Amino acid sequence: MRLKSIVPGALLITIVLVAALLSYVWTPFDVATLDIRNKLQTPNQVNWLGTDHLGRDILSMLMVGARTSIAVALVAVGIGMGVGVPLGLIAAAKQSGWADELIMRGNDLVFAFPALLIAIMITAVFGAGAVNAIIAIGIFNIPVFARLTRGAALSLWTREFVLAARVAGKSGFRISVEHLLPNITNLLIVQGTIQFSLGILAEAGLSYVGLGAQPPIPSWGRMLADSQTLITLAPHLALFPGLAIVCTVLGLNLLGDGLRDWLDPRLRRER
Amino acid sequence: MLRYLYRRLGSLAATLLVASLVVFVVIEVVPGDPASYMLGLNAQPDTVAALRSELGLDQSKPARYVQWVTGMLRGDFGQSYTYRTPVADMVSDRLWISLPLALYALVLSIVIAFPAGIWAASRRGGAADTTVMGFTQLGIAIPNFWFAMLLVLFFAIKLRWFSAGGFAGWDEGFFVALKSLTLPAIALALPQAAILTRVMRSSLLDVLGEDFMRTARAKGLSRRQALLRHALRNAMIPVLTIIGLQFSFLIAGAIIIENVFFLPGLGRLIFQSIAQRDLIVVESVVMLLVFAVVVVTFIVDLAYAWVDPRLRRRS
Amino acid sequence: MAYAIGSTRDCVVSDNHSALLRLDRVSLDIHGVPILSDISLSVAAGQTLGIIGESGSGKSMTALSIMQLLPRGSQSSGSIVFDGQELSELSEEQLCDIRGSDIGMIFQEPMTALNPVKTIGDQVSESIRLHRNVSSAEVKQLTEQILERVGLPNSEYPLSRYPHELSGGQRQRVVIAIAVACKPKLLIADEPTTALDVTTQAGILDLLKTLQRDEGLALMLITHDLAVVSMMADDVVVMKSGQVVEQGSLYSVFGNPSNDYTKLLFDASALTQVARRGNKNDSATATNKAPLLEVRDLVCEYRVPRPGLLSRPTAFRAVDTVSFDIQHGESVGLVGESGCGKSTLTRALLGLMKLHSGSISLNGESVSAAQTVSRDARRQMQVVFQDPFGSFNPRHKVRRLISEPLYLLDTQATAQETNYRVSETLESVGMAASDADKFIHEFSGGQRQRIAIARALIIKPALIILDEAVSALDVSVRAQVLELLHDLANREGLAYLFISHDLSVVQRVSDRVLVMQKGKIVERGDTQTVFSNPQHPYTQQLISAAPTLRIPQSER
Repeated sequence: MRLKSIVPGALLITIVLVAALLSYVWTPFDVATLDIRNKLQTPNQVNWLGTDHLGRDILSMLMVGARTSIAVALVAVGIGMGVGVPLGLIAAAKQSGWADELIMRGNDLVFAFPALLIAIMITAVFGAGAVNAIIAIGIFNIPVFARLTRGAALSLWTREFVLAARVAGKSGFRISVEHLLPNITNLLIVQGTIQFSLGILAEAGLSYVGLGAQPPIPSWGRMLADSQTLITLAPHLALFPGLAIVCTVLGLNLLGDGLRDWLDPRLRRER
Repeated sequence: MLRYLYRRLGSLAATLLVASLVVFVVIEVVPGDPASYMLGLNAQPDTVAALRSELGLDQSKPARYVQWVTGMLRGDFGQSYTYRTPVADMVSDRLWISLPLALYALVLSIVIAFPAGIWAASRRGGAADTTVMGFTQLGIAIPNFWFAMLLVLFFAIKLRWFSAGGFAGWDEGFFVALKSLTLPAIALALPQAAILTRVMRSSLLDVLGEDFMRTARAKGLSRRQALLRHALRNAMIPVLTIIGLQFSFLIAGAIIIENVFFLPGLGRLIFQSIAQRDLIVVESVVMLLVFAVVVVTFIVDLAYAWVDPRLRRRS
Repeated sequence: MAYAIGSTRDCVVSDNHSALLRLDRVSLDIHGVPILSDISLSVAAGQTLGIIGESGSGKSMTALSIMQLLPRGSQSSGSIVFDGQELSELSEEQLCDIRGSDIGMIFQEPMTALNPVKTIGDQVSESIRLHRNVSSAEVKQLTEQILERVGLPNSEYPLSRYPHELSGGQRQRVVIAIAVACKPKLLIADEPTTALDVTTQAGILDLLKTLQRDEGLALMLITHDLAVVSMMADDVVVMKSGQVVEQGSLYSVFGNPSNDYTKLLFDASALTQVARRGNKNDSATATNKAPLLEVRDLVCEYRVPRPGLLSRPTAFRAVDTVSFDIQHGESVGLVGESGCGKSTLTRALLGLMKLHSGSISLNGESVSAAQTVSRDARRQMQVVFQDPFGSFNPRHKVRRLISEPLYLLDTQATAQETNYRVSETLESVGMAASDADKFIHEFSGGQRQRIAIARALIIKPALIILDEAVSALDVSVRAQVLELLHDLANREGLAYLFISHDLSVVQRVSDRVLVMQKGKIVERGDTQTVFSNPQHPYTQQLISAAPTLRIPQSER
């Protein structure tokens, strides 16, 4: 029933992805050229979504900005999964060892530091940039995946098919890869989409306060920050980047919800 | 019960300790010497040295760490490198904007989410449920600072019901001050309310499927009575977890939202300090925020024990 | 045909007593799937009706239909008359007045049937407060009385207790207290003792009987266990696939079952009463004196989280100096109730947990000396678990699932060899070779357990540990699986260690029995001797508490 949400979700994401990829080869206008005479245009036939205070085409900037958002969020999810999943598997396999302790304490620690605080500290030390945003969001993702993996793996370890594999003499590593990982892939995919969408939001927030991608690289958060002083003059500047964020995040969430229902065998059987 | 409390207290203290170490180490990595930075390029070496000893920079790192932590415990956060005033003074005024803002938003989010979640769960699959769930999808997808800008555009610039920014100050009276925090709090609360509504709903639905709900109905309770008397309290357990997590998001969110509304809170201070490389202020504010989050986590832990008697197991 | 039988028997029942509850042609669909069709039955005031059925027979849904507490998407028809009222015509409000007041209900899972965040006092008094207009002091008094009545005296079990502070049997008593607090006319008990140990079960059944006699309430007892019904019921209904296949007085149904399915159930259950099999291990022991498995002074401990910061960490001794042997080709039963340490013992034998002390040797070679069990030892010993749903990785096909133990071969089997072994083994457990290419969810519980046996057999072990291997199966399926095990033992000369809480199963399949209590083996011996002349008080208690299927000889 909820499967319906996969279609609009996938559609929204495809549009954003295509726009981002397309921007590598073509954008309606070059985002690096400033055209001050043509500044603050409202949407028209030439500049479909208007121009900003420096005369840059909003649509082109949104397309290039999508690249930044997606790259940051995707790499951050990759960091989270790459570190978190093995940690979680190890913790579950060893059952209360250093990995377990590390996850639980690391979890407490990271939840005490919202991603923004991490980004603030990194920026304070190394200066602002997109890499900081990636690291900050990535660090935040690690315990999310570690905990998820650990929990799921722990419950799988008590399952009889894992005991059977142990009776067949298989090692903890082999069992983790052969039996556990395939059974938690669905969970990881679903959580991955959720973290991806959270990453898009976090990246937008960080670049809005100037801790993310730096000019002249266009980013959605930065565009919103620039639009703020002009909000009475040109509200459309604030409108489109916001809508872009909402559509991307909404698309990812719908996709995640739909995937969860689709991948959950319990729900599938009822269908 | 007491044992549970001690354990949580211990783990929170440990978290704080490690957090302070992390903050200190990270900030210590910063290249350059604050003293020479403060005095400019043309400063005499002996002036710099004097300032270094005044700021305590000439001591060993462990000693400075201990000094910093014990100082904070006494409420002494050191001296701002830029303004040469006690950090504690700079922070205390601003704290009374950021913290109330986050709490205000938390309250709003709970006030919206509880009824909405219960309503949606009790009419599962119906029109009300679909509508509420649709709104929450949207709510989660909206970045709070963008929503804040839209609020300003509509309520402050178009309708002129609120001022577009700034803070009246608590001296102007409670409600006046509260009013200037209202738009920011709404902007902060809405996405969190959407998440909380969804958690409330799904948690309630889980509980509604439990065996003891059938027992309750077999007892002769109506659907509604069973939901209110038996399901709600059980459903609170995951909801509390989320509320605890949300506070940390709200604190972070408050820092961003303050920028939209030009509120002179900790957020403004922290960005200003980063720009001026006033690292001791950054250090202290980060620690303070971590402390606030940890305290709220502890309160949530207490609430767990109140909700779930299984955690209260005799000491 | 089912209906024809139902209606003729119906007359027999209602002739004798005036019906308190009468179901007439009740049918039920859930989301379009037929669950019940044309159920007609009646319960007389003050009498006990036993409803017998295996899983999926619709017996629980019948109960929920009476309570009018059906799941979403249910569509029902037919008439349910209780105490002169047509229940399906009542408003929800009127139904709430009847539920818990005139009809009480008890459920299968006592561990989850109580609200974990409310005290037992709250939960019991709630039903009194709901249906009786009495002062709060009286409510408290009534609550204490009723808890006392179900065997939870206030001095030991104050109203402020939470469910997690009680055992399963005690929780079930609280559920019963809730159900009977307002002195209902009808009590519906849906598998009330299935989740409980035998000794606890006996107590609960006793309590239900006493309550029924003293309060004069009608009892509708739903169970899969014929023995329980034979001890409790006046009248019997047998259900299968949502239909009533046979009904009548206990005497007529149990004394002379007319329906094929009922006969099948009886055969399957009655077999368990016959002490089993010859002494086929004599030859084996004669030729090979060295025991296959030798367990000596085995101790297994779990670390318990220290109670306080300064107190010493304590350990829970789950298996306490256990010693026994298993000979080649011998079948040994290990009986014990939940928590007696039998699962820990299984794990220890399989090399899945560290031993605290003692030794395990297989064919005279120690398998516990090293930290990891050798491949050779593992090849000799395989296991079949209880849960036919949880013991397979849902993502692998049967071929991969049952060939997993081949990993223990010193040289990895070729694909061809694997295929050959898989087909051969599948056929030996009564499955088709073509089943190897299916996923596990395509099979029923009984078939899965056959596949689990195939997985254990493929490596040709000498000993198979059967850990509650038939406990989750319906009686009719269980009989078939036990039959298969019996054949395999004869054919392959396998030794079994049969671990179960179910005395009847152990009695049927084993040559020797070990009785385990609190981590120790309290009695051991030849199966027949132990069952006919138990020495240890615990064994005596176990055997006397186990319900036995009594076929009534004449009408009472």
